[in-house]
Amino acid sequence: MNSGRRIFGVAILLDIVAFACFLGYAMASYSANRIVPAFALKWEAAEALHGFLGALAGLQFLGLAIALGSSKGKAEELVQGAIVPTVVLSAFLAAAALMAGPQVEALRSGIRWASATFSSSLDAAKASLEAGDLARSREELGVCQAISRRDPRVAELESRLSAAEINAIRNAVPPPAREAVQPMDPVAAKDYYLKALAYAEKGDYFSANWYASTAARLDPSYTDARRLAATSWEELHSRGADPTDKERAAFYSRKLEGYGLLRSGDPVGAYRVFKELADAKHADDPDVRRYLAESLTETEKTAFFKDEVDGALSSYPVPDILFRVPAVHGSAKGSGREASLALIAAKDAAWSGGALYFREFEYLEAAGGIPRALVRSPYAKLTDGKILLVCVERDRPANVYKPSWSAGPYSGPASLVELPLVPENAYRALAARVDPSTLSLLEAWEAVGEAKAYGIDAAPIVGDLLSRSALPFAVFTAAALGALAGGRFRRRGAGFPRGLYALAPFMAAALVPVFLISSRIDILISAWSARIAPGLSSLLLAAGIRTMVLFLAVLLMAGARDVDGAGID
Amino acid sequence: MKVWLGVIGRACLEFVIILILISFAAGASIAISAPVSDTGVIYRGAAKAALDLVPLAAVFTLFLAFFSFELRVRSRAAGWLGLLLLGVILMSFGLGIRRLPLLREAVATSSNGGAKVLRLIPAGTAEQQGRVALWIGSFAGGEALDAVAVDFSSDYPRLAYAARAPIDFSTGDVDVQGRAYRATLPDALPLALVPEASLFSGYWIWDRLDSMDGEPLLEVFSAAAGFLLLAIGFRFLCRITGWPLANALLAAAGLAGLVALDAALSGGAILGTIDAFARRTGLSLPDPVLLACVEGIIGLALGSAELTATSRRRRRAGE
Repeated sequence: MNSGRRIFGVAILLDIVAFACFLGYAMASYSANRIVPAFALKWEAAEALHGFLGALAGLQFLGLAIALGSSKGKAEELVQGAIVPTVVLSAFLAAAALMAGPQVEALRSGIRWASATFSSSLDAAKASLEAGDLARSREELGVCQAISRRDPRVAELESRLSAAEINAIRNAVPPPAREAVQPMDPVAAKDYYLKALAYAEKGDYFSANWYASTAARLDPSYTDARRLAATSWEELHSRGADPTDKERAAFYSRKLEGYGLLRSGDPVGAYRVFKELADAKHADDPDVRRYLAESLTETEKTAFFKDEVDGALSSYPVPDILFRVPAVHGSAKGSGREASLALIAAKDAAWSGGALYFREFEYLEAAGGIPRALVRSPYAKLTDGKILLVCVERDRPANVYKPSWSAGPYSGPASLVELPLVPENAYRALAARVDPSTLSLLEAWEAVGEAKAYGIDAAPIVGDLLSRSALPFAVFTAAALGALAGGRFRRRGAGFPRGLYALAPFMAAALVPVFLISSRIDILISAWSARIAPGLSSLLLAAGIRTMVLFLAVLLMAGARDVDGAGID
Repeated sequence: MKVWLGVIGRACLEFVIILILISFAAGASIAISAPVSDTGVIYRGAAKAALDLVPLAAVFTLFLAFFSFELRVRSRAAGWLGLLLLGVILMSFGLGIRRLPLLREAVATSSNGGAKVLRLIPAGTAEQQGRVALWIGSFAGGEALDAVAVDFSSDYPRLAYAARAPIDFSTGDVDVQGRAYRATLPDALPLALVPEASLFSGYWIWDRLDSMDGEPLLEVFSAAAGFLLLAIGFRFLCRITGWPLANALLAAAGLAGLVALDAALSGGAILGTIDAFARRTGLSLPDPVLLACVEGIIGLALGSAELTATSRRRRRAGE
């Protein structure tokens, strides 16, 4: 077998064996207490790949050394024949590692986080159930179900919680309904009456009735309004409504209330009403269907739903958020409202469906040392150019999480903040600070520039880039040194007994201390470069040092020759 | 004889190269934690490390010389003597030079970092230490302008703002809404190339010799000689199997094993046992000398076993 084919054969075989060993170790060390069983296989594969990629340089050294160390012929001829396959194999492995690395890291981080969240939520759900806080227990269990619905622990808790909820409903006493008292307002009543008249002329008796009724409530002496309410109600009646039917009347009244809320600019309130109606066996009503959809659309423009946040935050949130809103020069948004400071802080943030979600959100805007906007909201959603501050529970629309303003707003509605932020860029910059290894090479490169704009410490991402850029150098240098070691330390004399291959595991084990020291030196090169030349220039400095080391290795490899007459038996 | 001397000469050259490389690596490690990012720190750190890391460089050189002697010097006894001479030269040079008062003084002066430098966090960047993040817009006249602090471990809401926050230069703290927040960068730790020897409750040989500067010369040289004999005892690794590549890798692991073994032997528990045993046999020696004796005996035993095994193999091969 020529040295090229031998190199490919030995190196690939060694890589397969090493991966199998890493997989075996990952399977043996798996613990269901640490990682949710639903992710077991993915976790083991990710762990095996993580170990394999980490040991790639060492494996490359060992593969080349064994391939050439068990070959026959002159050292210089072997080494020369090894150059092309070594370069091809090293380039392929380094490129594959650079591409696969971020995905493996993202998978590991995601599984670790999901498992930790699952465990803590399961414990919290159990504790809440024991304490009788069923709502909290349901919420925590929802998080567990979002992560692993089929987990037997979740199923067991679900049955216990459901039983507790049924008992609670049986024991509950409905609170007495209260009628809201409307203050007298003849001017508003007139406006409502005019709107009602306009709707009646258009033939929209539904709206006409609501506006006329509201006008009558605002001014009971307004006979025209009462009359119009009655005639429009008659019209509605002629289309199927029965005024004597109290249940239907209540339904119509609620429908009108929801409609009024929608038209008066409260889509969240309207959504709440129509959602209640839809849930109360009126989902087939065309008005309910229409206005539920309309109020939902309007709600999504000014608010968002809590299940969106829960879904996003149950995936993989970035914790401890503090960043600057980048200034936009010359934009319409920036002109006339330049602030010396605009910062966002949050407990955590998560990316989902093109939006960035925050929990325990705080936004501060100051100019000249005076805060002109300071708002806090339990949840917030960043979409293009605005941050929505109102959060609604989709299934229980009465539960609305609203912002509280300590200062401002100085312009625009209180339910949102308009900011020149691109969610994707903001998330990339934030994720780069916490877990830069999960970003692809291109994203990581972009994140360095974005980190500065967002006022985020770029050191972690630069450190990660330094470590990533080390990999190709390490693989090539290890391959060159492996070829050199294999060429120099070959067995001389008659043949190569196959039994000597049994030493390979011991050789791999013996390589561990050398590998660890080499890794430390590599880390040292990265850390020193980052210290001496901050920012992206440290990448150049580290690359320069590593190129020198690689050059030295290649020089040694090229200069390899046999020592005639001094064979090692 | 010429080849024998040539191997020693070449090994001395390798020693110089190895010492320079590991000294610079140690210097870079020190430079990482230096308060000022100055390239001069690496040279000063390397100069100091060059004196301390002689035993490490010497043992590296000895392991390389195992193979050189194996290749070039047929007589194993001559090879063993060559290694011993090489070790004595390197260790004596290292221990002797570090005792030169002039050199020690110069290194001590240059490696003295001087006054502690306060490294304030960069303005315009959110710096997080633990679970506390601090943002400072700019610094002016002993004050931090537009200071925002967020303690993520506290209850929500947690954002604190001060248009002007005074800096306490004695501690490096800024006061934001009545609470002090650290406005300095944390001290970076030096990156050690070898882990702490705490696993063995003993000390690495270079740390041990470094701490013996004030001890009598006899004890210092005994410690070095014991370690040297133990190291040469590991020569058997360069021919332990029939595959030189495997031998080379096992020798590299053996080097790490040798240093770890020395650290383990120097640990309180093992040394205490040896000391107790020595006292029972009526032998009362200082700890370093006692340890050196044990290491020397192990090294000589390993060396003798290897010489005997080689002679037997050669006789069997009919040479």
